Amino acid sequence: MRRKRGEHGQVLILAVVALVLVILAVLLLFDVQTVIRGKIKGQNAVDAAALTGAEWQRHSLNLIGELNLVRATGALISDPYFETAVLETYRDADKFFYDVKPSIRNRSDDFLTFPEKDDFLIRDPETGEEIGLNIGLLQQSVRRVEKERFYLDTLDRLVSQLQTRISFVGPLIGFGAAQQAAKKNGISSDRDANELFYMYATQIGRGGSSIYTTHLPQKINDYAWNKPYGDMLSSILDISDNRAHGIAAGTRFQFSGMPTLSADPPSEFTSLLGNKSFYDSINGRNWCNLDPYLHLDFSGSWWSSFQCDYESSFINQAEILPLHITFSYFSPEDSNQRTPYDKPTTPFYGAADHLKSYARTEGIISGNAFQDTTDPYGHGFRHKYEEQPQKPDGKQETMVTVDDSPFSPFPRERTGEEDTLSDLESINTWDLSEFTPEQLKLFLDTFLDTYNDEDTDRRYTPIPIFSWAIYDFEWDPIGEETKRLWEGEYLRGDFKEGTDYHSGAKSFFETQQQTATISGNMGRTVNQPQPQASDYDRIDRVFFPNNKTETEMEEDAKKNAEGVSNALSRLEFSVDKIRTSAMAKPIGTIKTKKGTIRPFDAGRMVLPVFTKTTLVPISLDPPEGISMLDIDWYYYLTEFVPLLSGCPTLEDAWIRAAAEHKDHLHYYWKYFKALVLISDPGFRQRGIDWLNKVVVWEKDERGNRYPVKTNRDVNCTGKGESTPSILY
Amino acid sequence: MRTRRKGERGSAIVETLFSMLLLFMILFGILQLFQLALADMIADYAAFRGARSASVGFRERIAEREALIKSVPASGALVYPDYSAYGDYQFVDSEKELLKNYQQSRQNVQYAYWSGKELYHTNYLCPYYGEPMTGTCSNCCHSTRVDITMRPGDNTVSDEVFFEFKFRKYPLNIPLYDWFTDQDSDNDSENSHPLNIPTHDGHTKQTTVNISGRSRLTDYSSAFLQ
Repeated sequence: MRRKRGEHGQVLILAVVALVLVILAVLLLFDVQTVIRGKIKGQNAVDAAALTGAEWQRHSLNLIGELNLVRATGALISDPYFETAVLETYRDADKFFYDVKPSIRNRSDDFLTFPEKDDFLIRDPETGEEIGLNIGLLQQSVRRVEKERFYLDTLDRLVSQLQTRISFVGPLIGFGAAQQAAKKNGISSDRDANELFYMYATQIGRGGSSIYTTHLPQKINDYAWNKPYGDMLSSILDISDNRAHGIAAGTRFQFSGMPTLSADPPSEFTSLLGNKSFYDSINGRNWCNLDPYLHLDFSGSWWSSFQCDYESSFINQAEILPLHITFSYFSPEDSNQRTPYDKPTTPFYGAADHLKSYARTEGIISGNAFQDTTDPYGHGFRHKYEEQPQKPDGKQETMVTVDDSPFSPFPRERTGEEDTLSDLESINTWDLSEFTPEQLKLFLDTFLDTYNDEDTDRRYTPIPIFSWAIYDFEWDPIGEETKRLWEGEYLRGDFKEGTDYHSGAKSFFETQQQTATISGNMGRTVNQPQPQASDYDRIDRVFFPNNKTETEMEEDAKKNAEGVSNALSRLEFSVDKIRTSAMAKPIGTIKTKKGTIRPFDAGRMVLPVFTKTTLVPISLDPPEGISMLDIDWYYYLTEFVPLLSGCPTLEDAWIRAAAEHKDHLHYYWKYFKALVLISDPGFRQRGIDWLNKVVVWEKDERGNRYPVKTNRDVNCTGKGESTPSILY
Repeated sequence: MRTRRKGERGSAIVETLFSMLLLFMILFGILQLFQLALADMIADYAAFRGARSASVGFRERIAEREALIKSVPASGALVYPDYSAYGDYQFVDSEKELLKNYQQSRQNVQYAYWSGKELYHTNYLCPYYGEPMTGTCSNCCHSTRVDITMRPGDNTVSDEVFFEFKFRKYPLNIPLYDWFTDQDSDNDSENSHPLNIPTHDGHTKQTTVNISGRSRLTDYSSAFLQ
């Protein structure tokens, strides 16, 4: 049948319409699939990164713990009374000494010991009366013991240096390995994280005048950490073609030079401006969150007292994935950080004493092997500690030397400076002849008398104080209230014994991916426009006066109103990247010989007890610091806030920022926009109106309606059971 | 040119109408299937997120909340709170904040397809219809609902958590489908998955389908939870 003229293409139109619809639907499916796949891939990658980082933290802590044991072993086997104590304690000690450890049995019996007191005394052969001192024997003994003590002290320092090296290197290996784990799981290098990491790395180990080279100690426990640390950071950054490619998964970290906000004088806004979620609440019109602040007086230059400060402290170890260990002598005078290993009244044997005490308490050594110690030096010297003058700041001096004794057994105060062999030389040339016989007699009376005490722990054992690697204050048991909340409300079981702690070594990672979707974003945000480079120019034209008068600026603004509005819209609605995060930590407990489970830090000393790494809920142990992915926040704090404090209006600050940091405007645009909004009384009033709007009415007997509940009552108070802020 | 005979007038219009009807039935049927596929992907993702939440030790109600939030793109309309009350409401950011509040239990949020679960004070579920949903809701709410199952996995070698997220009676309006089927709407047992398509849900004639996503992950919490 011949088709009539004009009937051509009817089906084609229908087919095209149908085809377009089907294609759009298929594209949407592709997009959704892409986004979901990206989210699952990102989560798996960040889980892998977090577990890898935590695994290296675990290895590092265990290594440091092993070295503590090496140090402890050094202390114990050099203690001339250790053998006696063990023999008294264990029935099978003979086997230990004579079968298993013949080397211990064969060691020099006079290691770190003095001869008997009588051996120094020259007596009249006939009457037996004391007629003098054997100065030669005394000098020889003192030199020998001091030399041996020096060896032991050197061992201690070497171990400390090794532990410090591990505390720098181990976490960085973990961080680098985590990047590989993330990449192997399909996450590519992240521009923001690389940029922030690059800025951090360039401050370290490259000379110059950064805080790392000018204000921080260049050696920690004799380890010159700066350059190797910087080199490792550079290696991880993997710079090629003038771009860094190394970082795929960022972490959250606190670092020297980290920007923080402060206000001088302090103001009620202090907690707001430094709080990133405050800006999110404004931009999201979260009136419930903003409720407490909508009535504040935001008129005038309320931001002018703000300034950006920089963190100046340093944790003396890697700042990325830190282990949060410290050494027992670092801050002995600070009572808040004092540990059982810093005992100012008994500095000489404090460490050994508390190691023994710890060992007994924890059941590692049972029975009465080691008695509680009192003052092993005799009462003559103890009072000298108690009478030490306080420092001007009220803190007590701890490492003191007894000035009137030439044979002070107390170790020299650690200065962190390098040891040299001159120390050994000074021992060799130590000449007792410069001391008076009275002083020498004093030495014998005070120390060697106690030497003969039957209580071995009261005898003179010149072991130096060891600087044990211990957990710092970040390692903390979960408080009772938090524990009750988590066990009762959030978790589906109680904590295993010894695992209810906040970990100092936490491995938190985040990844972000730009989704390459066809429609822009998934589900409800389909087809949101993407920001364009010209958007910033449009905004610039309004806020950039270019020496125009206010009237001209106003006219300019009106002309550009529509364009600016669209530009702002695009910026605000720009599609978010897919962000995923996870946290893992090492888990460890101490199992005693009796089978009792104790927390990993029962003695605060780092021990090789970490057996597992596991993912944990982020909210249980929230990480602190700046996220490597939040480069916008970093620039906002470091670039925009300093400008803000000197500007009378927000627009002035924007203009200055555009002049000085034009390339970074897009980083702090959303924060600036939030400041503009919250400063607007109309905006705040809209929030107040919404909160006060009556949404539930009831009728009285006459049928008149009366208000019962407002949005604030209904919408700002959750009716469900409480939950943590992050649910994974 | 052939002249049209008497009686043939309008036949082209009728033919076109029939062919268009058929074409659009097929077209919209395909689009419904796309929607179904989309919901299926979202259900998979929700199950994954629920399992991830459970794998770090969260109890069921929290893992469930996490899964629900992730199922929002396929959860129907937001029925509570009333968005129009937000004044200068901005779609994306506001809803993000809203969900954050829901997640942290600061606000009650309800999407149409969550209703069967009777979550968190159900009298807020159907405000538009002026009556709370209690037990059976005849007219006010969708009969679609979410069912969630969480239990230990059956792997005997390592600890696992199993999480299933299911949309029950998800709307699937294939045109004229119920002309050809006559199934009992209550027949939505486990065995009927995945494409049980009951035609009557007891109150409204609506073609529905059960959609489920399942996920099984390592239970990391066994390292620190009893």
